[in-house]
Amino acid sequence: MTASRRRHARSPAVAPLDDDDLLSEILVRLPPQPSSLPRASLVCKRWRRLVSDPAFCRRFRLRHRRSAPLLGFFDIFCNISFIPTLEAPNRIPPGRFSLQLDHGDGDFMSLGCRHRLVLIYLTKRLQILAWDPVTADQHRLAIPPAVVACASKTPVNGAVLRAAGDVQHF
Amino acid sequence: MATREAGKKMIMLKSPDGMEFEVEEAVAMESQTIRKMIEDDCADTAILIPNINSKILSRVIEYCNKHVPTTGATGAAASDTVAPAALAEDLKIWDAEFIKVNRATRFDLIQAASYLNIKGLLDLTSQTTIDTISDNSLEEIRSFLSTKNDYLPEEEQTIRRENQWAFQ
Repeated sequence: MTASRRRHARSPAVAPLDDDDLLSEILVRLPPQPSSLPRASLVCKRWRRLVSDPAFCRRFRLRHRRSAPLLGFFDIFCNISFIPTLEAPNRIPPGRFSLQLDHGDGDFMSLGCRHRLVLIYLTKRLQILAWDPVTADQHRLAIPPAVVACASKTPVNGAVLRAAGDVQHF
Repeated sequence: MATREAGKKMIMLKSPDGMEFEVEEAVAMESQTIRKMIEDDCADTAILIPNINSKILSRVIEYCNKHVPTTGATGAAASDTVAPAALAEDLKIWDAEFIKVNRATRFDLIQAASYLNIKGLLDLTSQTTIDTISDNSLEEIRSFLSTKNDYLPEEEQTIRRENQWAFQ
């Protein structure tokens, strides 16, 4: 056996944890509860770097997409406020997902919630607002005049869908 | 070892500490790394598996033997008559026993599963590690995984403040 090969014979106790790829492979299996990654980031700087990596976050989301816990719901009769459903330490405070509107936006109503986006009808501005509560991103669309004309006669609804794939933008 | 069925192609795997393991090609091909070598015709009479000592390699082969599809590890035809759900349950029980190893061996198995690209074994070993630590305190996790806390107290406080709810 050559010396170089012998050098590869690692100390077994800590080896996988010294390898970023292997440690990520392990950490991606952390439970999908919201406190998992914040807690893991407190173990040490390297763990924080790994679990904050966008590629890791994508893998983590993808891995748990079928077992993601219900964090809470939005009360559409009370300013679309967030009502957390989990217990501590996974109870996300309502303020974490609060809708920030401009002063002139006036009244609004929720048209639905899908694919991590909330669709909101701004009745005064005649705009549709797609809101991502996690990133706080907002995207506004003017309601076409033809739809506005109809809306005075019949209820108009809407639905929001995110494009297929793991896109993070609107 | 039970009788080897005629016609089954055998592959020789060698560990760096000089041990040789003769395994069925189908068993060896549970490893995507070895599968690729075989498919690319890079496998001669023996494949040297670097970095994986004979003790770990024999455990990996044991795992692959159990998990190779259509195998009767017992050699009996009985597997044809067992329902898939029962087989899956049997595998789960077997896996749970298989992974009852000390921490060092488990870490070696993670490394071997990663190098040899054996998804099921990587899942089993990594998930077991996470299950072991996920209910523990930060201090216990650090100590179990021989990881040092390299945060300054104020840095730690800042991170706690960012997501205070997660530490309640």
